[in-house]
Amino acid sequence: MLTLVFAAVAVAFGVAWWRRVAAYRRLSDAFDSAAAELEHLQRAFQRFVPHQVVEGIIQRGVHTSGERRVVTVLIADLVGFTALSERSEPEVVVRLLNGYLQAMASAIAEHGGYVSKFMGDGILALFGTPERNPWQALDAVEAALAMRAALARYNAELAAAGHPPLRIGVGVHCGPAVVGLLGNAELVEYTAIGDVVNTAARIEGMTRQFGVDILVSAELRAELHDRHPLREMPPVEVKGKAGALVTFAVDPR
Amino acid sequence: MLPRHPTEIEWSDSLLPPPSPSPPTPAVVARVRSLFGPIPPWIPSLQWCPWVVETIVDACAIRPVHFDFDLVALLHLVIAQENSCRYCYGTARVMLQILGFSEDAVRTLERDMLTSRVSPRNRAALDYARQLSRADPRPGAAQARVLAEFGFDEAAVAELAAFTAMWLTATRITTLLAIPPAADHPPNSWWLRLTRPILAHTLRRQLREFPSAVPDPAKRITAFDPLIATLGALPAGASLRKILDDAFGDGPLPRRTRLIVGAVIGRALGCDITLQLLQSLLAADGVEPPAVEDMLARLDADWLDEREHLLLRAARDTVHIHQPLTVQRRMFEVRDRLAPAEFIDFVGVASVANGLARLGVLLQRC
Repeated sequence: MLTLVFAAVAVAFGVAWWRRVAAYRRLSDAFDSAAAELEHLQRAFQRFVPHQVVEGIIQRGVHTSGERRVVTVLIADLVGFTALSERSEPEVVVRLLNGYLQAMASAIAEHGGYVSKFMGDGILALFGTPERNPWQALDAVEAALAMRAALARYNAELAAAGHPPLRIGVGVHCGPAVVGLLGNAELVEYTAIGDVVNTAARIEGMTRQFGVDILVSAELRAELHDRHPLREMPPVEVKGKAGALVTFAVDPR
Repeated sequence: MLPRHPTEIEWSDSLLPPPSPSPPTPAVVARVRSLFGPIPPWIPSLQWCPWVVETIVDACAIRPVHFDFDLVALLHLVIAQENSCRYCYGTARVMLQILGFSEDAVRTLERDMLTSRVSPRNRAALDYARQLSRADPRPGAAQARVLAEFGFDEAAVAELAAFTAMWLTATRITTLLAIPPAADHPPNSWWLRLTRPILAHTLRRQLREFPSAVPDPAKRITAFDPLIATLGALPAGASLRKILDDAFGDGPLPRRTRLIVGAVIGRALGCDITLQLLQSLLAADGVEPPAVEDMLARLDADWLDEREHLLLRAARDTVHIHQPLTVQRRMFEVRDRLAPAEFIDFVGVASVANGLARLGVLLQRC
């Protein structure tokens, strides 16, 4: 009788223990699976936001706030893209554009820049954020030169496929901006806000006026310490600016 | 995104030069053996620059005074993970497992420090170390206050910073040389689990009894005295003294070249203290501060020789390493243009400068 009682207790204990282990395993698997899913999402999110920012979001949640710091802004645009897209099939345009954006983004990343956003055929890249960089101006100009070289290679590929060459305009300027996760509760992006961005865009627009591909501001030139040969362009009066905007073309070395 | 396992880190083919014809001295062999057990296969290649071998030993085997070995092991894991050093990450995992952390516990640590069973005190220390390693910006008075709440006095914070900086130096050496990973998948056999308490006891005793570094008074660079003084009589102070004296004295690369490499890294990390220290040493070598400042602003100067031009740019690449493969690919160009001793010397100097520029926080609370 006693043996039977012992056996029953042992069986009951064994079953309870087995259930507990099974429940622990299920929980552990569920946790691992959730963690893997979260990690997958984090990695996907990193394509849109710098990894430092992703970590901040994980730790503190999404806070749309910015930090004031000096950055260098590079804005690039395709010259004559509207005409090209009117002449070509949309699928062809998308293919050409993706190849172009890939080549330009690689050149920017290679020189420490962060592509904040693509705006159709336009690119907004930041230097000096999210990591501080004392050579941000130098890096931005070298990125612009690398973009020039990358476009020449891409144009050779396009020519071989029977497409006309692409041309770019690049404007580079530096100054204080607010950088960080900006937007509203529904949509946020890591970018920079400030006059430095607007001025870089104006300078990019002036490349068409002067028939050059890379223009930098006088402020940026001061940061280059004569590292690159620059050619001064005539000053241009710009709406909303107190004085005329002086720019410099970056000549090939 | 931080790697969650050593195998997630893309790692290039080894950049190690062929083994040096001159073997390590018996004294060095004895120190390496007492730290690693068998002599690691990469030691003969580093022997082109014996001081780099000694730096790794001095940086890894320091007896902590204000915290325990578990925190040292956790620190190694966090810094290796933070700097994506596949070699050190693997060895740090093995060390933790020997000290009694299960594979699950290590995985939890890697995944999220907040949910793991790390004490709040150790977590605060690891957060500080992580921020110091990132150095963007370096931890300041607020972070030191958090540590003070957990009982870290000024000496303990200095020791923690020194351990972080020196371990970062070691991880930089292994990363820049792409030393082949030895412990991606540590053995987890029953006999290891069985003998773990003995191994843990042996490891702790070994580290406790590991002899402190013995700096050579003849090599002493007095400019580093204020920094070393922040560590008082701690064993970490002796290690740091020896490492800095070796890195910024004479070596296979001229002293001026070594100081220029250090200055570039100091500027990249915004460490004014490092810059001041190295500028004073450069001035003694005939390069005045305005010339250094101009060189740092332009990352170029007419008075640099061809090798210095090459190393100026390469030094920059060593500062923040998120994807080692990118930096390692660039290092091939450097390796191919330098003699083996010069290349190992550059890697050593750049790695030490990376530690130094973070450690400047002890003199410059920012």
